Amino acid sequence: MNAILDFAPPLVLAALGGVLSERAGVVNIGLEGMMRFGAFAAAAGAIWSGSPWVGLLCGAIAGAASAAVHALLSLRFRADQVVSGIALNLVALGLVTYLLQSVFGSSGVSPPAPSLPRDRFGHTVLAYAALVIPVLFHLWLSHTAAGLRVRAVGEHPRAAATLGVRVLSLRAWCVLGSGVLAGLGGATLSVGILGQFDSRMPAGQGFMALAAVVFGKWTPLGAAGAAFFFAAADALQRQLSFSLHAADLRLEGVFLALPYALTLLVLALGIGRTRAPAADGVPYEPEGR
Amino acid sequence: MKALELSAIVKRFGGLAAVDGVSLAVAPGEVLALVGENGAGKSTLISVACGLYQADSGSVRAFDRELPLGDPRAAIDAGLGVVYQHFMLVGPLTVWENVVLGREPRRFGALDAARARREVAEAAQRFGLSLEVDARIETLGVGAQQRVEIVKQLWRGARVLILADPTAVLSPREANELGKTVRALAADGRAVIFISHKLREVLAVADRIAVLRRGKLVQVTPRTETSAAQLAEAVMGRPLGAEPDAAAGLGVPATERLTLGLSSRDDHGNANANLSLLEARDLACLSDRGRPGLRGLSFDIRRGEVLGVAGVDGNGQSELAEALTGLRRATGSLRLGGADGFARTPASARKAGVVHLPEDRHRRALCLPLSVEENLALGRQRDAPYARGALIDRDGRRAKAHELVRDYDVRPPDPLARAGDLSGGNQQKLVAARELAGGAPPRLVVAVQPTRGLDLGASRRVHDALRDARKQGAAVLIISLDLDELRAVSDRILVLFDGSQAGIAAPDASDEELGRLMLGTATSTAHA
Amino acid sequence: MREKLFAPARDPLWSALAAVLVSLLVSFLAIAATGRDPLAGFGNLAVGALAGPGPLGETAIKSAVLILTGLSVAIAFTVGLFNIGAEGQLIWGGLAAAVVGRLDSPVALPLALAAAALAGGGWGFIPGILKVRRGVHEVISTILLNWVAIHLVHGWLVAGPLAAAGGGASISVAGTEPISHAAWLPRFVTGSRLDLGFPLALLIAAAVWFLLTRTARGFEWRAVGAGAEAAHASGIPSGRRVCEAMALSGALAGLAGALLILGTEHKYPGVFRTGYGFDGIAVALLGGGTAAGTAVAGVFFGAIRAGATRLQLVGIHPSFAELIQGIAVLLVAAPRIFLPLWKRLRA
Repeated sequence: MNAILDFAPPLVLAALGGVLSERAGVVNIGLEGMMRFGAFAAAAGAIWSGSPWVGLLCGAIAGAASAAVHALLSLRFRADQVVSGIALNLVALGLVTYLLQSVFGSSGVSPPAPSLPRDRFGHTVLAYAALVIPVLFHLWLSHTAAGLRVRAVGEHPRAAATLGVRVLSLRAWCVLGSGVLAGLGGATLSVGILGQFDSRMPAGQGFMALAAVVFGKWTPLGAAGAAFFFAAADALQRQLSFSLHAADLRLEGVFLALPYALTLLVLALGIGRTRAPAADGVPYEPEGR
Repeated sequence: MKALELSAIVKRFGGLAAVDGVSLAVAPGEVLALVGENGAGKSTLISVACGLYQADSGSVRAFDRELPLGDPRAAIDAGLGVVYQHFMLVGPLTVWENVVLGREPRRFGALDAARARREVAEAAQRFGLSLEVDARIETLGVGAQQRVEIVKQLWRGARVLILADPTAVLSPREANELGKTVRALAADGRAVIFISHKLREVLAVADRIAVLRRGKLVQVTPRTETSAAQLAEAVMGRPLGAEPDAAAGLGVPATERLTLGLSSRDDHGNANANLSLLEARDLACLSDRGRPGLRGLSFDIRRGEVLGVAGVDGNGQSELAEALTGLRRATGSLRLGGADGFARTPASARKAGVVHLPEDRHRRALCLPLSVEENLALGRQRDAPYARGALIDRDGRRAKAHELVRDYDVRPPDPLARAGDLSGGNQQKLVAARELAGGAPPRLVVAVQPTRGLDLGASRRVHDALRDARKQGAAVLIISLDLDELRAVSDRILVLFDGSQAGIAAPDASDEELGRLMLGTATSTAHA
Repeated sequence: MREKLFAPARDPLWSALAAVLVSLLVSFLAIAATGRDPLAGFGNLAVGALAGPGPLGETAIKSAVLILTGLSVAIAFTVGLFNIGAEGQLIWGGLAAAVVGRLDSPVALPLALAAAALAGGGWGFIPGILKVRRGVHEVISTILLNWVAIHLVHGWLVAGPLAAAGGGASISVAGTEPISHAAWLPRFVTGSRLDLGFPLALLIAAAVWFLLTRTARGFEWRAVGAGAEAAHASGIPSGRRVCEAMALSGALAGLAGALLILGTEHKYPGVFRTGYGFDGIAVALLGGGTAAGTAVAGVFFGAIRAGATRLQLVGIHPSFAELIQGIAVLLVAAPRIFLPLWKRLRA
């Protein structure tokens, strides 16, 4: 059970980032790339400054910066949002590998980075954050004026615009916010869990976060719950793999594949077909006819 | 002091001036009607006035203060409120959330939901508009949604209320209610601008009537100094005799048309009383929300007959069209020419000779990114002359496209033009060309709102095409929310209420009779 | 959807060209910024890609794989789907070719190719049917399936049941048993690794072009991608068409894997990080979703990949090549960036 609280935060944070962006109407396939930037920046920042907290901050900023590119392309230049996200992932893949090589001279892992302190239960502060932030997000979305506007903008941006809501700038803030969350999620991986950056990070967790968003019906509590569920599946897989000596039996691959297959199964079984926010993925044209 | 004053407004889209130097003013407590054909510039003018569009030149003043152009917030703050034809309501949110959006009452940083609910309920009550503040918009009917839109503006303190084509989707009685509300608002000291193309309504409610034609202001007259016929001529710019359909479409009453010697339907003795081509018995199906869409609907259409289908929006019209064209499963029996099972899939319906002019042509009839030529081949891509075996017959397809584009006056007449670039009217002509003339003559034509949003020329072409299909012996079903359109084209009118037949009326039935059928409060003695 | 995707750039060709030029320019500046010599870097890149039969052969074999994965993604675009799963489809295709290729018989080569197409096609069919029947977004399903493929094939099958005998060590670096010589893709230029794969890829590109532009079925696919509801209402069985297209898409990616195994590796290696599947996305996007464009873009990226190893001679890590691709895709995604430039050029 402790393992779940350890491994869930990256997924939960990234999933919340996905919810924020998509509720405002911007599809965010680039979560994987944002997490990757966040993970690397956090490790680099922590190593350079000697403090894991600075690392976390760097991760959040890196996430926001990459999200800014997505926002610029999708909102200002009306690019297809899926393509923009995919392009971001491609750039993240290449750029971070390149930086890992040129900054740390390695193609595998970075040097060890200072990690976040753990309390007597063995948890970092992020583990508790993963429990609290979804609730705060939910309250914000349903009980504040800003949250109401975000919901409106994701469903019917023109209606909101006629009432004076600034659609594009609100969407941009939400995309930046999703970048911060995803970046923090990535940072958790390098500075909170592993203690260094691994060249494969986040190893598909950005996409699992997307699946969590869909599974959780685009709500903060739902997505967080789904993320916890996937993290539990992952923890279970590790446990089974270890206890069944899968490595010796060369069966490791089967266990590693399990969480992904399970995620797919869950999606395939159909989660009641709740639809995404109506304006999700549709570029907003201020003077559209 | 004028409540709203528009001076020399010009707005262009591309090279076309949608609004060309229009100046208009309205005083507090006055109801001004704005009439004109589709495309005359009414909606554009309103969008400029309320800041949604930015005018290329001209100025907007509210209560003697000049408003910054292109700023909806400033317009709202100055007291302008617009109720659009396509409602600007967010479906999954509740009534009160929609009303307060953008100006939310707050308490300690959070939404003050209690106060919001209370204020919205009070605003509604003050004008006698019944509303359930906690209902989600997507569960409400059209009339209720319109009330929400009005309360939305009133709660914001709108002193100038602009209603864009409000009665297009209302039943006659609801339209009446709205008229009373408008007069109540005027009596309360607010200015009301009322856009419509229904001259009768406008004459009943407005103090003055402004006529727009092709972006220019043609006349502004007090109600007492004009008539439906005079307004119709001003709208069209031509004497009524040349345009019987248009006169009907503008709501010039049948009696007036007859006095003017106009007959809007030609002889259609083709309808062979003994030959029912389409027989529907006990059609039943669910609608999208899982609630009943059609409940035991039965009717016949004969060869060479046009059956109009009237009814308040949401009473089964969409489901009926879908059931006939293979897009929705329905129980009961449907026979075309004696054979049933033709409407199992869209492909089988098409093969049986059913063609469909759908309501939402962008989604259902056209692949917008593809060319005109490709769209004309859609549905027949494996048949001659569009194909030879498994391969596309490029020459045949091109030649056929030229022919259809010419016959139906699609502009620009370029088979390679992108369908999405065509205007709405030309897109609809494209769809009509494909469906009615793209292959073998159809046996059943299902047309839904075929002239919505179309200008006069395009409407006329589409109606002519439907009449041609009828002449060739097809059964034609035309579903429309526009009673005058139905009157102009149909041989009989079936009224839908709550998914089944409320009655059959003759085209010259009165508004009252049709209205009673549409609201289910009368039974007609005529039967299918 | 392909048309909708590329419509904002009224002329996708110029848009792609501009994207490529700008990305090269950005890379040039980036290299200079890190203190290395950009001219030498690009010079080395060109040498590695084009100087002589050896480098040209490398470019050709890499281009062949990229053309196929690019076509795979482009076909999916045609019916309106994003196939991010080319990587996984390629892996299964390669494995199937490696297994069937062990047959020592004159029909080994065609059989291996067919097996690869079948394997990839099956893996591509899954996201198709999930989308049609259960509404699962294909971006998520194909990516998840990638990870499943990677783990099952690399982490289990190639390491365990299919490993070459005599491995012994805990990580089998050797991979699977080598394929028989009858299954090798023939090479025909001395001093070069150029094999039948490149002409084969070009042939397939031509066939795909014909399929999409000249056949009724290709037209139906394009209609489904351009307007799914209208296509359905016109009688086209859109669900079936989507599944067909996804199966073909997977088959092409599977063939790409076969080219790698049968032409270059001659077995399924224990360590096999290709990335060709993801690059296929970049190729398809840059190529504007057309068969011809994909072929050209495939050659471009193939050349970059071939020359990239030489970048190390100037102190630049080969992963820089991926960066160039990523930037090009980013720019192609937003052709409107160039809109002001067009206007000024035309004015």
